[in-house]
Amino acid sequence: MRGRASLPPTFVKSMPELAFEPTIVHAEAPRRPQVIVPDQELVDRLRAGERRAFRAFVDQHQGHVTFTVVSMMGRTEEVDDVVQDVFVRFYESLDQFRGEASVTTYLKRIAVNRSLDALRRRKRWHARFLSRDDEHNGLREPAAVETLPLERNERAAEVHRAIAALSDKHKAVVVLRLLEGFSTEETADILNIAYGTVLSRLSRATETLKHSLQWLLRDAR
Amino acid sequence: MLRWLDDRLSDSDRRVFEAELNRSDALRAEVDTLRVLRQGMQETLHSEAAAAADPYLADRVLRRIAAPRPVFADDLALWLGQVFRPVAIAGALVAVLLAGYNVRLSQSFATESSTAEAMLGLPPVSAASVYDLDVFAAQTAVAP
Repeated sequence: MRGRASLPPTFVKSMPELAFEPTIVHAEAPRRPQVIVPDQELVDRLRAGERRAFRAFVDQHQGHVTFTVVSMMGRTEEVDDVVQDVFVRFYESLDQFRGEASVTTYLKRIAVNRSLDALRRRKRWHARFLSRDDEHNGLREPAAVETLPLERNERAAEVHRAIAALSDKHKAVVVLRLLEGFSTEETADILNIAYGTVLSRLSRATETLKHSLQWLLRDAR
Repeated sequence: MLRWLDDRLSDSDRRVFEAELNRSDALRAEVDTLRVLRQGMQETLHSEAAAAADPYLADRVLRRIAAPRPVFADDLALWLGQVFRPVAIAGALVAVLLAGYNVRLSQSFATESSTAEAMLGLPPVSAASVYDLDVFAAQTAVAP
């Protein structure tokens, strides 16, 4: 599974399906033989200006970066640009990366911040161009890209609607702590907020999600 | 609860939590709700992320990195160029007109001036004449 070796153990542990469903990810992609290279080695080679190392780096981290961006923004056309931005930003800030945090943590920080920037741009765009009638109906999320079967698309749309209804700061905590399985400390570090703030935001967001995703709880029982 | 689900509790905390879990139906229901909620969302979003994955992402990112990016100085130069181009053109035109006017004026005075002096409208002054006040005054006197 691409990118798996670079994920923190907690990330994999909390999502066991990641380890057993490799065919889901990039099933139609023209794959090169994938050799997992340690992040630090890739970063060193990147610093030495080796372009091939960057290709390997993107391949290894694309999966979990895309997951973060899709979770934050929904499955929209903007996702592709934001994921690209994350890697370009990482490349540009290589000099600032001192290795104090893991590469995954560093990438997650960039991914969350870029997603939040894109969400703010989206809101500004809505505020500027939507008519008053649209405003009364609430902000419209961009239409989901329809590539999945209808039922799955509807489920996905419901999940995205529930996440989109959260405020940005709650959204980031839910994605990192609840969905990606980072610890509370790691989430606090990535978002640069206090430990207690993560807990309180998570508690409030989870209550909201339980309410808005009742169908999901019903289906499972 | 999440730490228990993530298997992040210490052995002693885990034992305490699991003992409580065995005792309390409400806690068990709460943990179950959280587990189902999380798993359902993760499954859906993983499918979405997989569908959104771009097999050519690495190529596109590399192309973006390789493309020359406008730096701030370039942007500033571009902006200044756009803003001041009309002013610069008008200024150059005025300078040419003034030079022509000066040349024409110097010819009408019939004084011996170099081309540069004539264009700039300067009186014909040499280094030697500056020290000879009479000659200097004569040379720089305005013709009646």
